[in-house]
Amino acid sequence: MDKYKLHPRYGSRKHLISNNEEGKAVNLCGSPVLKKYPATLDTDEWEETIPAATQKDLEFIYKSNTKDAKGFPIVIIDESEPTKAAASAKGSK
Amino acid sequence: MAEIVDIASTSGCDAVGGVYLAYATDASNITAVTVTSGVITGFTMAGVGQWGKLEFDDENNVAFFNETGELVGNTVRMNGEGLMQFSGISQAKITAANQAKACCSVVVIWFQNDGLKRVQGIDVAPDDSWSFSTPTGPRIVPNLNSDTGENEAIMQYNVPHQGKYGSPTTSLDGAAIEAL
Repeated sequence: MDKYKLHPRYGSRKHLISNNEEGKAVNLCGSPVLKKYPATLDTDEWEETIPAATQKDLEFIYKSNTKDAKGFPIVIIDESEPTKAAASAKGSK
Repeated sequence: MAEIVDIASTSGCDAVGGVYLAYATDASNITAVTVTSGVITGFTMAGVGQWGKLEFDDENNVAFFNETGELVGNTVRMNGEGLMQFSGISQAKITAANQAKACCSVVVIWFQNDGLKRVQGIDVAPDDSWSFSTPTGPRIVPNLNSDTGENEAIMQYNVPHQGKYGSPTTSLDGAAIEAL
């Protein structure tokens, strides 16, 4: 199974917020983010935590062909992590 | 990919016009876009809570988002213009207008009364590649009108732009946009 990661060109970012397959917001940069909502006439001020993206979320972003304005993908396959198939093939040699 | 595609006549009489709601953000807040068959299915934002929700006070049904093609030399350019109207003027609205007009380029998602949602400020090419609208990204041009005693004071946002292509639709609903 492939592993996915944020492209290194966005490695210094703290926040990259996208919707996952269920429509929930996730942070592609790997850490949770606190989102604060100001008070309105009808509601008090409140906050929620946007979770870090899971491998499943990153796979969804990768396979949905999400690209930046220059046409580069923001999520890529992590080539530094050997796939199970490659690891087992290597182990059988 | 130049060709003339069949367009069948529309049955029924419920092709209602107008827009009732918009979400807008500074274009620089958008890091990436997901496009599937010409439809924008996702935005990746540089931070949280960067989409402003703009609910029109529009009993007079004056809000719109129109695009008109123009032949410029040997190319066809799409000239877009949106108008949203809010009742009354307050310092909060004046401050909001000043902040909005300071954005050098914005992206606006217009919710049409017929259910379609269109994205102003992003050009999507036939191969699903995208770019911010060129030659001129959308800007918010506010009006703050006291009007006369016969009418109400209003604030308006005019949003003109010029793009290469007609503004695409999006499959995102309000909940997905507000989650970002």
